Parts: sequence; structure tokens; C-alpha cells
Amino acid sequence: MSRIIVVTSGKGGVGKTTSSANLGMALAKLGRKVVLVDADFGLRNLDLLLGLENRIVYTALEVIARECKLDQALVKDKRQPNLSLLAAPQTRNKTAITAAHMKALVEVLSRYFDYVLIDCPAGIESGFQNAIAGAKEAIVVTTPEISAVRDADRVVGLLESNRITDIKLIVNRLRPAMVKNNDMMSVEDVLDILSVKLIGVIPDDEQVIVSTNKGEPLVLAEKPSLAGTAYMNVAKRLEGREVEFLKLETPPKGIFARLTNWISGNA
Amino acid sequence: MISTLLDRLFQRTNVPSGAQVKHRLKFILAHDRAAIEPQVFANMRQEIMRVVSKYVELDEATLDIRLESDKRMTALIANLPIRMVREDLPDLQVLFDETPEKSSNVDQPDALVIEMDLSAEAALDAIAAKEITKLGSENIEPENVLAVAERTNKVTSKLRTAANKSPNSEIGNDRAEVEIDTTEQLIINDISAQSISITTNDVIENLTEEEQPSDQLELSLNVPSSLASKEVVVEESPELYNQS
Amino acid sequence: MQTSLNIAVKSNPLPPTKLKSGAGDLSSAEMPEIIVLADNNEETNISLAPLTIADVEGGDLKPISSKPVKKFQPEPKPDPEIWQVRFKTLDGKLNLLLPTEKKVKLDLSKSNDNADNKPVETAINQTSSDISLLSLTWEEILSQLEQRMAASGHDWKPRTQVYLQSGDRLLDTRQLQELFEALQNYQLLLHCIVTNRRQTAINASSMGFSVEQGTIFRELLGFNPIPDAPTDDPLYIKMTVRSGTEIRHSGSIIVFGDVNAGAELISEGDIIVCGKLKGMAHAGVKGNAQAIVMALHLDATQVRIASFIARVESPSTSFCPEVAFVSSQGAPAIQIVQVVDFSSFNHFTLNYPSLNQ
Repeated sequence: MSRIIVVTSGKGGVGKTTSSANLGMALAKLGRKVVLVDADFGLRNLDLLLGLENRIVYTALEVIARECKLDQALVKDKRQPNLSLLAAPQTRNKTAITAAHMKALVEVLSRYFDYVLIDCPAGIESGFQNAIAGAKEAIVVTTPEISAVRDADRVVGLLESNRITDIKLIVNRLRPAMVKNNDMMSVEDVLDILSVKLIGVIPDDEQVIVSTNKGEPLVLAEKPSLAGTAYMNVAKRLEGREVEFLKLETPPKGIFARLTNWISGNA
Repeated sequence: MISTLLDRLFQRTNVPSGAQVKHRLKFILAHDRAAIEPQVFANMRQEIMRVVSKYVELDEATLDIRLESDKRMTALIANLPIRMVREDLPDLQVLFDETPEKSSNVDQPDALVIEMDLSAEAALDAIAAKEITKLGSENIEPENVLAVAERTNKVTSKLRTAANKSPNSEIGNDRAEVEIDTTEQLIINDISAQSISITTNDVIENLTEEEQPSDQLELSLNVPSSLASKEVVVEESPELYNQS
Repeated sequence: MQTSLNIAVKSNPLPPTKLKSGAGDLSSAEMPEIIVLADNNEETNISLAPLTIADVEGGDLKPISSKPVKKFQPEPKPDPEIWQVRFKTLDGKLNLLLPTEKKVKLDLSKSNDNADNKPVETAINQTSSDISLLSLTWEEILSQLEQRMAASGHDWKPRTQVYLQSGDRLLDTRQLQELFEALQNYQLLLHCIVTNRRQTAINASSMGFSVEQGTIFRELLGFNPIPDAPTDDPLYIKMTVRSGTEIRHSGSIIVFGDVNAGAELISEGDIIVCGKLKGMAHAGVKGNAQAIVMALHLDATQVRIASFIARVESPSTSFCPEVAFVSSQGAPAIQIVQVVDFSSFNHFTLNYPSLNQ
């Protein structure tokens, strides 16, 4: 039974594409056949995060314009054969595609893959409408900041009125130290406002930037970072396993403790 | 613990990802700025290789053809290590035969893949059919304008690919032209029914320039005062036709 | 201009050039906002002012200095305004009311130069009291319908027949099909289309629905001659009202769930939230200053009653139900007390002068 999940947020820059890439890779690592669909037509990013940008020959737009076959547009990841990418076009007009096209593409893909993850563009305009067109479930990504949470709430409302009721939440870029000082909303505060099921908490991690630079999703690293482990846990939860949430504690303050922390490779 | 300590101490020897990312970014920006579509670039690359290897034997493993951009200027750089110069020009026929062989290797009939492609095409066909019937039966809705714009977008993209296509793909060209015919017909019908004049100036201009055309069409809502506006549209289409 | 009455005037959204190109004498096209209000002396009817647009609908945008006199009668206008999708049961029949469109019929043959479905209007926007949206697009109507059904759909028996009251709205077969399918998802059967438009009737009957003439908006909404009494049964919804959602009702609103920041509840009567109210609530929107706003946790961005506005200073840390009301002790203003203490204020007797605008 395949699952079509759209990863959305409303606000830009909160980590949709990072989450899509890492979740896709994590699910693929768990043995599922995954296709990642970049629905951000015109400003594509998913290929960069996966490090597949120079292997893109055909994009979703060429499939829709019947210039190539669907299979020709799917880029298979050499590092992880279970993962494929359907890239978005970079250069063409966005209005060339409609929600019906997206829905059709996504439905066809769902017959041949276990997971179809759709990376949604920011905003709530036509790009968003196209991205959610074929989706059956949604993962809303937010950071613990007031504007992101407000936008996430709006998006949840829009998803519900588009009959997507299976909505889960990822709280991204959490800084436990700031939460402890009461300088940042806690996960509980966010849940309190949004009332959506929580599926993951990803801490703010410098490794995310490094992984984007290299084009290598976090979960592929040999030594998994904190964020990478968190994403892997989300994938496991998506698969139905019960995984405890990571204890994201503030870094210890004593000098010896900090030294041991540094030695063992934490930030 | 010791191993991780050593890792951390010697981490500096790894290429810091910062340098790596700069390299990747330059590469992809060069491609984006030149606005060469990936498949066009791939075709160009193949042809360059083919032409050069008629005269010299190339070391396929180390050759490098890429775009580089620097201070807003983009250059195509080809680095082609030569194994040896050919004594006699190879049989041109052989070279042309090579390419179909290569493609057939790729197309190892994976039944599942073929099935997926076919169902995708069927689904897209269904959508196209629905749009055509929709426009026939409804009153004026602004959505029609959008749908017509969308079809004209499709037409322009087809025209563009027709213009860009290499001489090898004759069959594809014809098909594109036939399809253009039907969609143009529908547009003309719609226009006479709804009296919205669409300016396709952009399309003509861009085809002659062979640049990346903007797919924006202007929809000016002139009250249909004269038949002249309708005629203009009709006249334009044969022109477009001839250019491809 | 009666600026003291809190009526903001919005400039004509159409650029004047477009108007002049088609219709006849539209030299006064930019005038309407000003002229309509100029001779407005009868204050009681300001709140009904959106209906003045109906008068302009004829398209004759001549200077209408004489017109205001004709308009200001408390007599009901042709059809009451319906701003949002609504369900209403009457005589055992479940009716679905679609919002009335605010259209200005100009003499252009094609006045839609927007790419989406918004009909053109010369809008006279008002603040606090009738915040008039531009008419809803079809997509918005569908998503409102979805929302309403999600909020109250479980109250109806499966296979209940629905009578669609579409008024003057033109509906084509695709739209009817979309409505039919949307209702079907909640096991409601679109049975009959009640319309005033011939084309809609033709489309509906070609699809197999039964058709009736003449929408009964007035009966449905129980036109009430008393201007400040709420004109309708309370709207009871069971859902979390998300940011960006606006719920507008001509009766009281009862929400079983939370109202998130960024959401708005606009009611002619009371507003009761069994949950956290973090959004904006406007009760007694037609001038009923006896309306109240109650919530289990009152943490609203703004509370408005009739023409009064208040911020919630500091939400109480303890979870106690609170109610906001207009008290006339001293200068009239909104006050918030705990619900347990409210009854002792004895507000249910009509001792206050009703504060019309």
C-alpha cells in the first residue's frame, strides 16, 4: 500500500526540502522504494540537497509536455538505489502545470513506489495547490518561532479543507539551550497551538549546512549526527515503529564535560 | 572514544565542505545562466564528442565538457585528452550506427518501467482530452482564458522544441506540427466563440531569436469591435507554422 | 463624509481607464464612494450600507445625490446578503446556501480582467462592522463548504437530501458536479437546485437534479425587523478554527474547539468558545452591544462587541472561563470578568440602552 505524503510548511526556510531529502533517504535506507518529487517549479532545490544536480536531464515539465517518458525523468541515486528523484524545472513558466497534472503524475508514481514524497514550495498559492493535489497525507514542518507556527496553522487549515486529514508535525531547528532559558518556544508550546500529531523533533545542527554543501543527506553519513538520527527516527515512526524522542539536552557547562563532549564529536 | 578523538584532531585533512560547495555552486550557476536545457546540453555534448572523435581518438574516461561562468560571462570549456590521431577517417556510417546501439543498451525492457511510462502517458492524455471538451461546452469563465493560455503555452513549447530539434528526428517534428495544427484550430474556434484576442507576438519574436522565450502571453480584453482582431489571429498561425 | 462612523472608503479597485473604455457615462466612475455617503444622515442604516452596492448594481453610476433617500428604508432589500456558505434546516429540509455574489454589472461585455473568478465590484469597504470581502472565488466556496461539513457534518443522517439555494448565481455543470461530489463525501445527496437563473436551471436539469424556481433566502433567514436582534439560529461548529479562517454568521456562534490566532469569528449575536480563544472575536456586529464573548480561555488578539474594541491585556494564567461584555459603569467599554461572577452582574435583563451605531 503506497503512501503519498506532501512535506509543506507555509513559511519558507524552515526545512521542508532538507526534511524531504533526509526522510526520503532514510526511508530508502530502511528498504522502501521512495520517489522524491520536487514541486517547487522554477526554484528547484531538492536536487542540490541530494547532490544529484548534475545528473538531471529531464524534469517533470518535460514529462507533462510529453517530451520524454516518465522513467527517463527519474534520477536514480547511485548511493542508494531505492531512492529516485523527479526534479522540477528551473527555467520554465510555472503556469504550464496544473493540479490535475501533478495529481496524475503522483498517482502513477504511487503504483510503482512505496513512498511518494512531495517537496512543496513555500507559500499558499498555486505552487502549494499543485503540490498537495495528489497527496493523501501531509507532514508540516515548522520551527519554534511565532511566524512559522502561525503559517503552519494556516497551512493545516488549508490542508484540512482540501480533505487531507492525516497531518503530522515536525518541529525543526530546536535549540534546547534557548528553550531552557525560555528564549524559545518549547515543543509543547508549539503543539499546544497547533494541535497536530508530532512525528519528529530535529535539533538545530551545524551538520545540516555541511551536508547541504556536500550534497549528501545527513542520514548517509557514517557517523550519524544528532539531526541525522532524528530524521532516521522520523522515518521509523512513519513506518509505524514506536521510537522514543531523542533527549535533546543542553550542552554541559563544566570544562571537563565540555571537553568530553567535544571529543565525542558533538557540536 | 580514542578513534573519534583522532578523527576530530585530523579532521582538517578532509576537504572542508565549504570548498566543495563553492565548486558545485559555480557549476550549477553556469548551467542556469546559460539557460541551456539539460537535454539540449547533453545532445550538444554527444555531438561534440562524435565530431571530434572522427578525427582523433578520444579518451572517453577523462574527457570533460562543461559550462563555466565567471563574472557573468559563461563559457563552454571542453577538455578532450587525445589518445592518438586517426590515420584514416573512420567510416561515418559506423559512427552513426553506434548511437542506436548505445540507446538500445539503455532500453533494456524492464516491463515495470514500460508499464509506468505508458500509464503516465495515458493519464496525461486523459487530462488533455478533458480540457478540450471543457472548453467546448462552457460559457465564458476566466478559467477558460487560463486554459487557452495553457494550451498556447503548450503550442509555443512544441514550436520551440520543433525549432530546436536536430535533423535526425524528422518523425518527431511532423508529429509536433500535426499537434500544433489541432491545438491552433481549437484556439481559433474558441476565439471566435469568445472574442478574446490573444497576442502571440512574443512567440514569433522568440522563435526568430532562438532564445529562451518567455511563455507569457498577453491577454488583452478588447471589446470585439471588429472582425479585424479575429483575422489577425488567424493570419499569425500560418506564419508560425512556416518557421518550424 | 461621516468619518466618525468608522466607515473607511475604499477606492475603486478597477483602474479608471478600464472603466472608461467600455460603458457609457462612467465619468463619475470614481465618484460612487463619495457620493453614496454624502447625504447620509440616517445613522441607523449605516450598518446596512453594503446593500447600497446593490443599488449601484444597475450600472448607472450617475451622481446619486438623490438616491440615498430612497435607500434608507429599513424594509428588507430583495435578497439578504449571505457572506458564507451555510446550511439551514427549514421545514424538515436541509438547505445549502451559497454566498451571494457582489457584482457590479458594468456595461463591458467582459469585465473580468482578473485571472481568477472574482467578480468586479466597486467596493465600499467598512471596518469593524461589516468587513466585506470581495466575493469569494469558487475554490474558496468549495473549501468553505468542506469546512462547514467537517465541522457539522456528523449531525446529519446519511443520505439526507440537500436543497441548494443558489439565488442569482450562475452555476455550470462542472461546478454542480463538484458540489455534488463534495456533499457525497459526507453522505449528503444533492437533490434539488433552487435558482433564479435560467441557465443554472438548464444545467442542473441536464445533470438530473430537480429544479425549483425562486430561492427562499428570506424565509430561510427569517427576516427580522428588529435591527439588532440576531436573525438566525446559532451556528454550532465542532472543530479547531485555524488561522486564516473567517467565520461569519448572522446568529450566535458556538465553537467546540479552539480558535487559533489569525482566525476570526464574526457574529451578530454572542460568541461562545468551548476552548481557547486566541483569534479575533466580534460579537453583536450589527450593533447589539449586549452581545457577549465567552471562552474557556480568553486570550484573544482582539475582542470586539458592536463598535467597541478591546485587547486582552494579560491572559490569566489559571485556566478559568471568562466573558467579555460591554459594561456601562462609567464610560461604556468592554470588560472581562470570570464567568462565575458574570451572572451576578445580572446582564440578562434589558436594562441597557441598546447602543446603536
